[in-house]
Parts: sequence; C-alpha cells; structure tokens
Amino acid sequence: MTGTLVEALEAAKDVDGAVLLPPTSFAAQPGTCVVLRGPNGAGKTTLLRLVAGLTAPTAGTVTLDGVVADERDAATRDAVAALVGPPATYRDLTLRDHLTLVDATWGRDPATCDERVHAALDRWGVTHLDERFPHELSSGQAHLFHLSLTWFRPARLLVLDEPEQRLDDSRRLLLGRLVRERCAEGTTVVMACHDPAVTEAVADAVVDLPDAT
Amino acid sequence: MSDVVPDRERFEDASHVLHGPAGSTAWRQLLYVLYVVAILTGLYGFTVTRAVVEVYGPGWRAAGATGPVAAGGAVLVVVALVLAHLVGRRRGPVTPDPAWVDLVVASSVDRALTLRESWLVPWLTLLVAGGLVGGVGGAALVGGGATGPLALPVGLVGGLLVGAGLAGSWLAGQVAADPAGAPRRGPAAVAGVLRTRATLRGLGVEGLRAHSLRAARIGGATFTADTRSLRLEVAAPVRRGRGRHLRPHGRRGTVLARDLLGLRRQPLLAVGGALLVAPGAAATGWVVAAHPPVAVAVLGVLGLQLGAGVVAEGLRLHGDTLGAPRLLGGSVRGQALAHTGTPALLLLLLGAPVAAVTAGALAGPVAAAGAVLAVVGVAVVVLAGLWLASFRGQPPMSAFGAGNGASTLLAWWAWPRVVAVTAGAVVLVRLARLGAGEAGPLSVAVVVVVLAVLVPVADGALTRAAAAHRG
Repeated sequence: MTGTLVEALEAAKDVDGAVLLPPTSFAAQPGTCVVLRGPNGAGKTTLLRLVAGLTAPTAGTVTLDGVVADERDAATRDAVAALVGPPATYRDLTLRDHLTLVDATWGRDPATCDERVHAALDRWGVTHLDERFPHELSSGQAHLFHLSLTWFRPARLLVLDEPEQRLDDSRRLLLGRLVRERCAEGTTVVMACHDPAVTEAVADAVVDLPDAT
Repeated sequence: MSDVVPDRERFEDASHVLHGPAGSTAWRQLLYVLYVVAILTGLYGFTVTRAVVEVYGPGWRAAGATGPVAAGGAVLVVVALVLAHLVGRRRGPVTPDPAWVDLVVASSVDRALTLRESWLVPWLTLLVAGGLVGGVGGAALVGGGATGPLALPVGLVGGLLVGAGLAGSWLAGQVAADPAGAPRRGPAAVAGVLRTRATLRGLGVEGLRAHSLRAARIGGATFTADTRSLRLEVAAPVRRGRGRHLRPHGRRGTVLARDLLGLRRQPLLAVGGALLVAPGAAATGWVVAAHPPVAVAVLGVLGLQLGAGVVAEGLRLHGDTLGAPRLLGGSVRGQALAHTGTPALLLLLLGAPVAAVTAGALAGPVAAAGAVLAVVGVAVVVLAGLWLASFRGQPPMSAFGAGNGASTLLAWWAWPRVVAVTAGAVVLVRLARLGAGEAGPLSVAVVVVVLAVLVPVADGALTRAAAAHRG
C-alpha cells in the first residue's frame, strides 16, 4: 500500500483570538516518518488534528495527496489511522472482540480473522490480555491496546500523538521498530514525540514548533 | 482526644469550619424546594389530575381499564423499587462532598452522625414526593367523583410508604455494593436498611468516596449534555461472558453480532428491554382490538420506545463517536443501520407476537394480524426516534446559560422521545381505526405523512451529526 503525501502550507489555527497553532509548513513524503517537536502548548496536537482532518485550519491548507484533509470525506477516513487521544472503545467487548470487529468491518477474510487478531495483539505484547475488557487494563496496557487498534486498521497515513507516553523502555524500543516497519511498507507516519531516543529511532525529518504562547 | 471531646461537638466544629456559623444550608434549601413543589402540586397537579379523572374516568371504567391500569401501576412500583436498588449499586443516596468524606467521614467521629444529613436529605425528598403523588392522586379520585373519601388517606399513606420504600431500596443497593462490608441480600438487606444508623456506620470510606465522585461526574455530564460520559458513569462495568468471542459475519453482520454479544454480557439490559416492550406491545394489541382511551396508546408506544432504547447501546455509541478518528470500516450509514438491528429484532420478535396474542385473545385472528401490522408501523417510528436521540448532536449554547438554560437542556434531552411517542401514538390509533373500518383515506394519509416526514428527518439527523463536528 502506497503512503500518503502530507503537505501543510502555512496551516494555522486560532479560536476566538487564542492562537493554538501559528502558521506552520511541512511535508511528509510517502513511506517516511515526520516527528513534530516542541514545548507544551506549541500546537503539536492541533497540527496532528489538522493532518487527520478532524478540524479545519483557520488559515493555510493541509492536504493529503493534494486533497484537503477532511474527516467527513470518505477518502480521508479510509487513508488515515489516528491516535490523537484515547479512541472510543466498547465497554462490553474484550480486546480480541474489538480487533475482530475492526477486521470484519474492513472486509477482510473471515476465515483468517483469528490469526490476524492474534498477530496484532502479539505485536504489542498484549496477547495475554485478549479476554479483558478495556476498563480492566492499566493505563499503560490501555495505551498498548489503543496502539494495536490503530495499527490494525488499514491505513496509508498514521497520525500519532505522543505514542511513547506511558510506555516502558522496552516498549518504546518496540514502538520505534514498528514505526520503521510501517514506513518500510510504504505508510506515512506523522507523530508528535517528546522522547529524544524514540525521535532518533524513527524520524526521517523533524519539525520543531515554536512556543505558541 | 476523641474520648474527651464528644463526637457531636467535634462534628459541629467541622461543620462550622466548612459552612460557617450558619451551618449547612442543605436543609433550608431542601425545605424551600419542597415547600414550592408542594404548593405547585396542590394548585396545578391536583387540578389537572382531577380534570383528567372527571373527563376520562367514566370512559376508562366503561372500557374496563380500571383493573389493568391499577395492575400496571403496581408493576411500575415494583419496577421502580428494583431500579432504585440497581441505581444504588452505582450511585447511592449517601453521597456527601468528596472533601467531607475525606476530612470528616474518615475521622473517628460517629459515621451515623457525619452521614446523617447526606442520608436524610434524599430520604425526606422521596418521602415527600411519594406523599405528594399519592395524596394528589387520592384527592383527585375523590374530587373527580371516581371513589369514596377513603382514597385520600389510602393514597397519602401509600405514597409515603412507596417513597420510603424507594429510599430504602436505594440505600440497600449502596450497602450491597459497598466494598467494605459483606453483601447482604433478601430479608437481611431489608432489615439492615430499617436500622439506618447501623447501616450508615457500616458504609466504608472507599465506597463513599467512589459514590460521591461518581455523583459529581454524573451531575457534570448531565449539565454538559455529555451523554457518553453519563452512560459510562451510570452503567456497571461488564465482567461476564468474556469466554464468548465475537465472530466475523461480514461488515454489517459483525456490527449486529457485536450488539447482540453486548446484550449477552449484560443480560439485565435484554431483560429490561423485554420487560418494557412486552407490556407496550400488549397495550398495542389492546388498542387494535378494543380501542381503549388514547392514553393507553401513548403508554403502549412509550413502553415500546423505552424498551427498544434500552437495547440500542450500539446505536448511541455510534452517535457518540461520529467525528472521532475512525477505527471501523464501512459507511457511517451502514453502521447505523446495522446497530438498528438489535432494537428492531426486539420489537419484531417479542413485540409483534405479544401484540398479536393480546389482540387475538380480545377480538380474534383478524385483530391479531392487525396488531402485527400496527407493531411494524409503530416500530418504524420508534426506530426513527432512536436515530433522532442518538444523532441529535450537541444542545444549543443557550442550554448552558443562565435564565432558560435548564429548561432548554431538559427540552434537548426529551424532544426525541416526545416526538417519537407522539408520532407513534398517532400512527397506532390511526392504524387501529383503519383495522376496525372506522376510518378512511384520511387515516391512511396521516400514517403515510408521519412516516414520510419522520424517517427522512431521522436520516437527516445522522447526516448532520456526521458532518457537524469539524470546527
């Protein structure tokens, strides 16, 4: 699967005069990882929300393969897997049920669903939690589950907001390896990150955002 | 030292520090509210209820509705008692401020003293509310000429007992779920609630803190119209059925299977939905077979609406997650249709047979067939109402302002059900008259217009909700 070309051109966001993101430009080529860095309040999450099409810029543009990023557009939704805040999960489904649901709704082969689900949980080291409900997870386990969900759906662009948070050192190494794997498969990755080691491991390019406040 | 200074003195010192020399104002606020409510109930509640008794009473007696309505009322009381117990397990009546729990309740002062006000306020509220409802109901029956004067004291005492029972059941639920004590069931739980001082002393600080924080979050979610947070706070965590696995059945089939699996893991929802749909469907069958007063049609559709709503958790969550980063494949509308399957199945597989049996028993096989058609027609309205509720989006900003904010918020919460119940009752009554040969093309036109307006409006609600979030 070919990755998405992401282009932000002087993209900015303000709400009632409060600047959430000053004009910012960057490009992410298909199959590369761009890391956004900056102090708290610099606008990293806002920029990620613009890239995922969850909100619209008040100035400038954000495009995916030349088309305005807009979550209401089915093409954007099909292209982007985003972990910007915890995803809404079903309180009455176990972890493996969640992945089965995702698998089926993307039209994958039902006969091999179990293998894919197992592999997805195993990838993040949470196979032993497969029959737990989301409210039975620690915050770190829940984050690994959210990463496995985001990784599991097909996508040409991964948008991740500080995915290293709440992960121990070994899991941060794992995160770096899996991001590089996705890039090697052609997926574009745009992520915010505060960890220098993870940034060093995954970034093809780094965008430093100044303090917006 | 605690053995030198009496508990009451220490308690009053703490109250003085937190509330000032005037002490807690909770009692004065409660008494004022009860005073106003009692006056309004006496003025308007009694007048309206007596008018209803005078206008509809003779018709109800002629239609033989008195017995079933009384039985329905008794069932409602039992359901309310059970619900109060279940609610108490998640949010009990004794919920002092979190700071009061941590700083005062956690001290060595007698817990019956520190929790007394937190318990007596909800207890008195329910007691007075029950007395008012029972007293006004009894007085209206007497004033409307439906019964003798004995109905007044019977209604008053009965209302007080039901109010006290609700408060006790609510407290019993909190006690049963308290992590500090051994759960008590049956007569032991009832006896425990009757000894309230001992019961209050038995409540643990961990459970009190959890209930108190949850009460604050429920209040916050209610006043900010955060329906998802509200449901998560009210609902008990799911722990059963983890050995059952979701199996892939295609895009929409898996979504429907998800909802059904959710009900298997929360059988109380399925039972609750069935307990609401079954009497609603029986009332529907009665309307088709015997044309009782319109109120029966309204109550019947309300039962169907509430019952279907109980099992429509998937539909509501779909509405909550519109605009969030997408995990599931398929179209938004396709998923909404799949989530509609569970309430539709309940209405058709339980509601239609119950309505048919009721109508058949009252008026024969033709009425039974008519009842099935009526349930199908009302089901379309009910399901459209569920879409309206699930995809209604955010309330207007005026709902969060001073002045009319509270009434606006209340209207925002209520309007989908009001629309659905009203439209459903219209459809049901018109279909019943058509079946009896008492109506002509006008009734057909009314049914067609209601469905032709409501279904596109519900579909439009989904379209707007899917596009409205991007700011």
